[in-house]
Parts: sequence; structure tokens; C-alpha cells
Amino acid sequence: MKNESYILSKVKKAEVPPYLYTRIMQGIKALEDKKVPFKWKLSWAVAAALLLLFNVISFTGEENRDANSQVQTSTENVYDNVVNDIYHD
Amino acid sequence: MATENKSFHTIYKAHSNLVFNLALQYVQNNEDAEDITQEVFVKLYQNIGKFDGSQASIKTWIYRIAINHSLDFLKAKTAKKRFGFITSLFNSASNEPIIEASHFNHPGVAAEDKEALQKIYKYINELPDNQRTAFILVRLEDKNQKEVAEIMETSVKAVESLLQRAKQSLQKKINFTEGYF
Repeated sequence: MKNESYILSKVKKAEVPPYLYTRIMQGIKALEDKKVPFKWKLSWAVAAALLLLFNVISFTGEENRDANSQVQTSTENVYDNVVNDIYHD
Repeated sequence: MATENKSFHTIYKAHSNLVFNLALQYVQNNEDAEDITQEVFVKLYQNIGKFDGSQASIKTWIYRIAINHSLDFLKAKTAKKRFGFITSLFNSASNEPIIEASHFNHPGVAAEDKEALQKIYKYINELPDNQRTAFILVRLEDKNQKEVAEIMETSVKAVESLLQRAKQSLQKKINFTEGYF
């Protein structure tokens, strides 16, 4: 262990390379460029909400239309089935 | 932004060597230590607003970030190496190089001591994370046990115990390869 301590004491402190600061600042800038601005976030949120609203409206409209068309079909069937069979007998 | 950059530059100037040298103790490779230093300072820049001076000094805070990043870096590297090995098993025809362990390239080590130090660092690297951190901070970074306890967010007694176990473990490994020492 004495040997080990002696050898470890020979490790010298290294100097950080001078170009590293520029590299770090570039990294920070790249991250900031990637960040979506608040205006964009808000626009996306509004667009998503409008799309959802449009879907809900069209879905409920579809349901009403289905109900109306069912009534219409039933009425038509009633009229279609009116056959005066007396004359065929 | 300009004032932010100025204060960041001051912090960088005061602590960059500390982070770089600490990273070197974990990875013993110049390029990897540069990558860790970069990641640490980018994180620092992003989280400087969250720093609470009443909890710890900025130096202690930087030490903590640097230690966590170094350990995470090593874990990610090991996982990549394993994944590369598994991929190579299933795809032996692939020409992609398998990721190799970083070679020993410590700028603070003289050529004549390189072989001996490489062996000692190999044993240090095999220690559990806590023991390794305690050993690096006390024996290689010359921190006292109280400072280490603060950095590691533990008690002085716990640091003492970690250090003792680390020494015993290293001693065993060194004795095992007695022929060398």
C-alpha cells in the first residue's frame, strides 16, 4: 500500500484545454436553439384544442344525423309496405 | 444574457480544472474527461437558478454534479459496450466497429509511471461507486473527510468506513498480484 500511495502521489493535476470553453458555449447555444419558443408552444396548444373541438362537434353532429336518418328510413319503410293486395287476389 | 455569460465564465474559470481533474480520476482518459466537463458545465448553466447557497457552497454543488456525471458516463459506456458486444454476436458480418474500452490516457501521468498507475487505477475502478468516490476525493483530490462527507451528503463516520473498506479491498487486490508490487 505504501508503494501504491507513492505511485498515486505522482499523478499531476492537468490543465483544462483552452478550447473547451468555446465547445461548452456552443453546446449551450445548440440546446437553446433547440428550445421551442413560448409563442410556438401556445400556437400548437390552441391548434390542438381547436382540432379536438372540431372533432367533438362533428362527432355529435354525426350522431344527430344518424338519429334523423333512422327516423326517415322507418317512415319510408312504412310507406313502401303499403301494398293493396285486394286487387291481386 | 451578457451578464449571465460573464458570471458563468467566472464560475468556469474558477472550477473548470477541478471538474476536469475529477473526471480524469474516474475515466483516466483525456477525451472522456473533456466530454464530462462539457456536460457538467452545460448542466450547471441550465440549473444555476436552482442553486441554493444556503444548502451548500457552489464548489460542493459542482463536485456533486461532476461525480454524478462521471459515474453516469461510465455506466452509459459499459452499457454501450455490452450492447455492441451483443449486436456483434448477432451480426458478425457487420463492418461496424465494436466499442472498445477507453485506453488509459491521463495527461497528468508521466510515461514512466503509466504502467504502474494503469494497474492501480484498474483496481480503483473495480471498487463500488461510494468507496471509489470516497477514495478519489480523500487520496487523490486531497480533501479532508469532513469535506468529503459534505460532498457525498453523508456522515464523517460513513466516509471513514467507506475509505477503510476501499483500502482493504485495494490491499487484497494488490496482494493478490504480489508479484507486481
